Parts: sequence; C-alpha cells; structure tokens
Amino acid sequence: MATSVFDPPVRHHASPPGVGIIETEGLLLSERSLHYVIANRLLGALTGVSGTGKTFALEELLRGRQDLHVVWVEVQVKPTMLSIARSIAMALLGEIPKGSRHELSYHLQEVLIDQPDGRPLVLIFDEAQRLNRECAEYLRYLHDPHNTRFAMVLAGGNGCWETIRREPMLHSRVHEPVFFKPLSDAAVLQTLPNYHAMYRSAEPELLLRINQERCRGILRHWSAFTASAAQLLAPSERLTKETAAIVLGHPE
Amino acid sequence: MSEPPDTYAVLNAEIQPQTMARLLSLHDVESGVLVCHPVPPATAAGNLTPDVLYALGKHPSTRGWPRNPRAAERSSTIWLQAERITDVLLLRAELFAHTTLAELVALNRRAGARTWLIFDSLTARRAAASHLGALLATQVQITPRGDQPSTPTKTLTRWPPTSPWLARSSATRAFTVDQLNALDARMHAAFNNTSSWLSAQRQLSPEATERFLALLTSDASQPTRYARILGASSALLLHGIASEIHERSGRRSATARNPTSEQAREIRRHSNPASAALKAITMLTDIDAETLSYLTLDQLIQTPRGVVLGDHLLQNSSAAALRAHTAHQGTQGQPSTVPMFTRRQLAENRDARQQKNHQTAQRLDLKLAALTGSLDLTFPQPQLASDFRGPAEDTYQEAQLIVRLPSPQPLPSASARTSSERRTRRRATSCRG
Repeated sequence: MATSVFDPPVRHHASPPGVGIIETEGLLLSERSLHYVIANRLLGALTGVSGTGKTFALEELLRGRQDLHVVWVEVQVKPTMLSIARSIAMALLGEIPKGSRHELSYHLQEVLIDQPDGRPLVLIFDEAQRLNRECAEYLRYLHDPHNTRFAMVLAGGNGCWETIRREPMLHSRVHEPVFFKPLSDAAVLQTLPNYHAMYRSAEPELLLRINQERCRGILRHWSAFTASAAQLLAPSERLTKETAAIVLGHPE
Repeated sequence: MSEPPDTYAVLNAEIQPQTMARLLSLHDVESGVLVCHPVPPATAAGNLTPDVLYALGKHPSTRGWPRNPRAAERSSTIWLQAERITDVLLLRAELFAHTTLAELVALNRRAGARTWLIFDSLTARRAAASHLGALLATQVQITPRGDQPSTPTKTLTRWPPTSPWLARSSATRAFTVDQLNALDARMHAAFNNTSSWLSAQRQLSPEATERFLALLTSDASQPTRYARILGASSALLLHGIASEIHERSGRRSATARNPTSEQAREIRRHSNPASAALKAITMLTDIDAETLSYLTLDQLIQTPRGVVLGDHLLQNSSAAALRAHTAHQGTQGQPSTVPMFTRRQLAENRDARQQKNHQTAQRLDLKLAALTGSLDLTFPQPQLASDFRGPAEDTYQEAQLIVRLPSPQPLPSASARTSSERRTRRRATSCRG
C-alpha cells in the first residue's frame, strides 16, 4: 500500500506569479469540518459553485500532513461501480487486483482501514458531482461496514450537493457539509490585498468593478485576471484603471 | 402444528448509519447469525452467493474461490450448513430483484436457515414480501441456537469380546448388515493405512507407533475403535509383527481446541473446504503432514460439541471447516473410507506441518514383538526399537503359528498372479509418505 505523504503542487488557476493564499470563509469552514470528519472517520462534503476553491482548500488543508494517509480519487465522467473500485484500488494500492467487481470490493473492504501506525485513512472524491446513483450506493457500501474505517470526503462543483441530496443514503450520512460561495463585495475588498501585491493599494471601486464585470466573486476568475494583469505590471506595481481596462478588454 | 415461517421482511425505515451499524453488529457466525451486506448490484438481477460466502469469512484471494454461480451456490450451501447458520440477514434487500431474493431464500432453506430481508423502502418491502410469501416483521428477532448434532452418531453397543482373531464370525451374528458394513469399512481402512505406514517405516519406536495408531484408531464409539484396532493388528501381523493393542482404561477425553478470533478468521478465509480443514488441523493439532496422509475421512467424528480427530476436539470455525470438508467429499460421491486429504491437497497446503513436537497420546497400551523366521512374509518388516514391550506369550505363539503356517500350495510367481492380486499387493505395499 502506498504510504507517501500527500503533497500535490500548489495550484492556482492560470498560475499567476506572486500570489498568496487567502483565507476565505470556505477555507476556514473546511478546516473545521475536515478535522471533525477525519477524527470520527465520517463522510464529509465540500460543495459549491465551480472555481470557489474547494479543491484548492482540500489540497491546502491536507498537503504535507504526515499524520494522515490521504488517497485522492478524481471521479471520471460517467463512472461505474467498477471504475470507482478500480480507481480506489489504484490510488490506494498502486495496482488493481484481478477479479470481478465483487472480488475487488472484498479486497477493498480489507484495505480501507487506518494505517497500522494509527494514521487515519482519508479518501477524497473530487468532482463528486459526476457520481450517479449506483456509485453513490457503492460508496455507501464501502463506508458502512464495521470492518472498514476511513474518512471520506466528497468534493464537487455545480450539481454536487444536488447529487448527494438526491441519494438519501449519502445525504443522511454527510456530516458538516461546507458550501463554497462566490466572494461577496466585502470579502473581495478584505481578501484580495492578501492575494497579490497589485491589489494592496488598488482603489476599492476598481476592484468592485472588476468583480462585477468579470470575476463575480469566483476565485478562479480572479486568478485568471491576476495572471493577465501581472504580465502588464512590474512586480509589486499597483493595479491601475488603465491596466484593468486592458485586461477587461475595453481600454479607455 | 405448522412450521414457523422461514422468511421475514423487515423495514429499516431510518436510513441512518446508526441503524445500519446496529444491524451489522448482529453478525456472529459462531452463534449462527450471518449478516450479509451485499455489493450493490449493477442490475437488480444480481447474484448474492458471493456476498454470502464473503459474509461467512471467505476471501477471493484464497485457492478455490468459486467463480461460477453454480459452484458458488454449492459452496454456500456447504458452508452455511457447516457453520450451522440459523439466521441469514440480507441488508439493502430493496436493491435486488424478487427472483434474486427468492434464490437466496431457497439457498438458506436448503441449509436450514431462516432469511431476514431488511428493506430501506416500505413499498419494496411490501412487494417483495407478497412475492416471496415472507412474513412482515417489525424487527429482527434471533432465537439463540442450541448446540445440535448435525449427524446423529449411530450407537453400536454390543461387541463380542475374547479372541481378536475370531471376532468377525461373532460379529455377523451380533450386528445388522449396515452395522457390520460400517465396522468392516473401518477395519479395512485401518488395515490398509497401517500397512502403508509400516511399509514406509524402517524402524518403529514405541512413541511414534503409539501416536500413529492412536490417531488411526480413534473413532466415535468403542466398537468402531475396536474394529480399527483389529484392522491395525492384522496389518501388523502381515508385516511380521505380533501385537497386543488395548485402549487404556480411564483414558482422557479429547482435548478441546477452540481457535482464537485471529485463527478463526484465518480458517474462515478459505472457501475451499479441504484448504480450510487443513488450515484448522495445522493450526490446532500436532498432526503432521505425513500422518495426515494416512488418515481417512471417517476419522472425522462429528459430535454436538465439535469434530473429534484423534485426541483433539476441534470446535467452532475449525469444526465447521472439517464438517464442510466431509460434506464436500460427500457431494463428490466419495465414500468415508477414502483418504482424508489427497496428496495434491497436502502438497498445495504446504503449511501443513512436516514435523512437530508431539504430545504422547497415551490412549493405547501397545505391545509389539517381531516374528522371526516366518516363511511367507512378503511385506516389509520394520525393525522394532528395543524398548517395545512384547505381547503375552500365547498371543506371540498364536501369531507366530499363523505366519509360519506353510502355504497349501506354493505362491504363484509374480507374472502368474492375477491382476486383482497384484493390485491388492500394490495397494497394501504402497508407501504414502
């Protein structure tokens, strides 16, 4: 079984240079929720509009955690129970045991447990909105028995919570779901200066205008805007109206 | 009085993890309760037998995991009976078609177990109950299982005493044909196996010989043990050894062997009955692989408390493994006098112990003496260690007389012997070790 520490690269959409991590409400709530879900080996969920930082939050909160065994599974498009089982086996064991779906499931029941040294196993399903009813049933099957012991987190964008709510067997099992929302105007003004140096002394009206016209509180859009603007500015140079207008596509 | 219903439909209306956990906690194979938590089917017409096997502790990574539905069904029946399962609970029953549920009910019925179908959905429960004729129940009610013998042991009480050589004629008058056949089969098996074992030995020591004969002559009742002793004595005579073998009075009963939970899990992982039985014997007894190769199936003695093998009373999961092995051999049409394990099975399960520190059984009082100067000894005569006690003088003289009797006609040459004689000789002299 692979036991390396979960250590994905820090991923900001469009990879703008010089950006920092901002503590959004979603990130802070996720931290508390994950703590509880992992400690009690429960089922958690991080859902909300795409681009609001769910995957980023999970990666950030779990990166480098030597006290956890994190297994990350990205749900494929149109998944089946077998494809889910195979993905888990591959991520967890580094190989897919031979056999039918039943046989694979019995293997998984034996390995979906905490590490021998007591480290909790945390199974993350990203893009969980792709789960269909049978896959939801399957996840419940894996998580319910006495012989398995692991925390499971479903993370997904548009439609994820609807998918979970549609399946009562999953819905009733989710503890402390976190709903990621677009940043409000106040949150934009409060958090952006920590995101990049260009926003530190930028005019609030300008930031709100950009948010209204382009970014709509979505961090992924802010990341793309920042990457474009950074190409036009010197490091630590303030964002100006003119630069913003160029990036927004209507120079004055 | 009508039989109580054997199929119940229960509603698990609260679809909460806690209620599922409560249901799962009822799983206790040792008490006869099996909770089957099935892999969700891709279509409603799924197959539940792999889930039944997995609930019984079987694992697909072990040899002999049945991969076709009919084999899985046969295996499930054998193991449900061997584990003496009285109640099977199926969780998430609403995921399965009525035909699949009916197959499970039929399987459990054949194995003598009740079925509890647990539904999360009221409508699914009502429809299935109507289709299957199941009784609607508000909750699962398990009646504790009392220990019951799976096969009643025939009681053979009378046995003529006195001369060991003339027992058979008396026996034909004392027993029914079936009883006599049962005794005959045991005598024959003991004779064959002792002869094979003797052929493989160069020298006999009192401890090893007593250990082997104690195991070989173990059986459920005194007459059947005596029949085995007679067979063994005859084989010893054939190999040029006069013997007096008696059961010691006040012998201790078989030592109970109850596997730990870890051992039970290991034994139960095997879906192949022979592998499970070998695992159980290896873990819980001091019987080595060579000795095992001489034992026959009828030396597994089923009792209400477990299965007796030699001086060991194997219980719970280990008893279930031996019961399953016996039942499986029965389904293959094997008589009870065939070897308990084939050479291949022994070879495939290499963890069967090669040698071990044995405890001396001290069940038998064994006196042996080599017959010297015999005329017609064609079977290998192992050398006896000097510390053997000899039989009584009249027994020795009687045996000496038998083997010294000149043949009425000279033995035909090997080429002139009938094929039947050659086969008999080969069988008797073959070395199984």
